[in-house]
Amino acid sequence: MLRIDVIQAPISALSGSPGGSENQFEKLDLAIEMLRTTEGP
Amino acid sequence: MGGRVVFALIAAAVLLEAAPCEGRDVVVLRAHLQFSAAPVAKAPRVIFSLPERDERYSLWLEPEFDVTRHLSSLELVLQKAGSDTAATNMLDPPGHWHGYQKYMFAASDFARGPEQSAYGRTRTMSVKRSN
Repeated sequence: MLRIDVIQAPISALSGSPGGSENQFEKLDLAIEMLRTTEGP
Repeated sequence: MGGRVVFALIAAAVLLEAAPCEGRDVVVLRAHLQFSAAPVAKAPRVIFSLPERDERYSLWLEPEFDVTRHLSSLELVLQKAGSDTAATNMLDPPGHWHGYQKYMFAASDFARGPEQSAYGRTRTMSVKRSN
């Protein structure tokens, strides 16, 4: 089975207020590691 | 955020390693995906293959907009290479599903930072679909 680990780096710019519907991304960084695991197919 | 919004997805440091060994996990891909509002015509993708399969796969962030053209969320998409849409995402759970999945990154979920988001700073997801 394949497994993906995603680590979210700090978002440099996000406008809007906590929980508000007006929130929007300007930048998002993700560090991704994909592994072949011994579990499953 | 007014005007035309175009996106950049920068992928770097893709590392393919050896075939899996019995009894331990093996890293098959390391990548860095960055979304920004930079003016790029088409978002680049991370293209990779698995050592034991004669298939190529692509990984990218698909933007989603609300009615006011605000970038409200991004979806991490894993697909066999060659497809141009996010209609089939190998990260979708098998069968019927609903709700906020681990491959979804909603802006409203990050207003208090990654640590306070629904899944925390690190998300682990299993690929259970083959296409």
